[in-house]
Amino acid sequence: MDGRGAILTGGMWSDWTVGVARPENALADAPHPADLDERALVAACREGRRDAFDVLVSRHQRSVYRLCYRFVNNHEDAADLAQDVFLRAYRGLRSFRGESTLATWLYRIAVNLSLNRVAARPPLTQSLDGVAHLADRPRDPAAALIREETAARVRAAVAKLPGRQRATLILRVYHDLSHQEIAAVLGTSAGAAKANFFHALTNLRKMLSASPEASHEPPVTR
Amino acid sequence: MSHLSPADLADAIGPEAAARVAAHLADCERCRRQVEELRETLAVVAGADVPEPAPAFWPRMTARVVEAASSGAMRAAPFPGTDAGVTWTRGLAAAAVVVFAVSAAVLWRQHSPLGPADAATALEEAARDLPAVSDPAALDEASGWELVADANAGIDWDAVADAGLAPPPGSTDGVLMQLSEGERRELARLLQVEIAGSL
Repeated sequence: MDGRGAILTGGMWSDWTVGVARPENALADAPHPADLDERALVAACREGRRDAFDVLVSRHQRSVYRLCYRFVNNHEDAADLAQDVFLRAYRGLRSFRGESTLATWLYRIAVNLSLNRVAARPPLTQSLDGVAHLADRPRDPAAALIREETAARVRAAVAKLPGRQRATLILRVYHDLSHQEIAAVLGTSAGAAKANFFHALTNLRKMLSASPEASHEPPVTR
Repeated sequence: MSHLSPADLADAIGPEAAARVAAHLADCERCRRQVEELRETLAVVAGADVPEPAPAFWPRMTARVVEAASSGAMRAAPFPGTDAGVTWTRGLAAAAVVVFAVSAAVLWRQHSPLGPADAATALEEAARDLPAVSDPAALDEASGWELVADANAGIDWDAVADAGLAPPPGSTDGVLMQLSEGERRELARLLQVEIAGSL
């Protein structure tokens, strides 16, 4: 701990200086944010510790970025969305009551922003043409090129799913949320989340098994 | 015989399906096959990774977010290549046009028979005719170029050339005007790379 810090005043971060409510010697006693558990880290952010928010972003940015990427299927939009997620989180941190994990709370923000984004502007998904079919999967899993082509085909297919199916599938498969947690994120029931998951997988199977020409069809509507 | 519902089938994919579901699967070939297909699809889908950004991306993103939070900004600075970034470069292009127009007007005032007061009045009139833009960053591509087109609509290019303001043959500007479409695209690409690298 280098003894430096910042405080949130009127929505703006300021370096701690003489006269600010928290004295310098309190900083020396404060543990480094990287050593804090989630609850303490959130509390430190609420106190206005900039270094704590830095750690919070560092801890969660990969998973948030990846979630956003699954929605929009391109780096630029995913990076832009992920930044927005953390800024929303920063502004709304006082409303986080710890009823879910911080990750789940961030996912909720990310899903809402991503759904709004893709509703306003369909994602720039690549065509499924020239990408390996489900039935053509090689038995050799070490074939990196084929694996990446399959991954690209899957990502493009996921990006064509209807919003709630897409959100459910992403949260369930790639972020290990339970159906109950997904229901909380999407504001629906666990049964509806399960049904969305089933329909998402069924639609994906159809898309991944279809001929390349079928990739030009419009996104699935159910 | 009734079959499993979508929610039951979603449950059945996992290892801990309810006893009722497991009992049904033991007796129902159709549902069992459906569950197998779902599991196969799930295995393929689960293996589809997201491309990993360059390692430098993560600290940059952290810095941008924390910086934006520090300044109270509503949005972080866009990464190069995003729509917002493109808007920024459009804004730069528009600003360049405005600078050019103002420079031309100043030079025109020095070389034209109009007096300084007349030139200032003409400039004010031209500016008044332009649409009000409260937030240039919010301009989309079409409206951005419309603004640029509006800004240049009143320029008499023959008069500009007569006044000696057109680029002489061999000048940098003259060379730019003689570039082919492909050469201009390549130049634009190189400039974008330079701009991205400087951010």
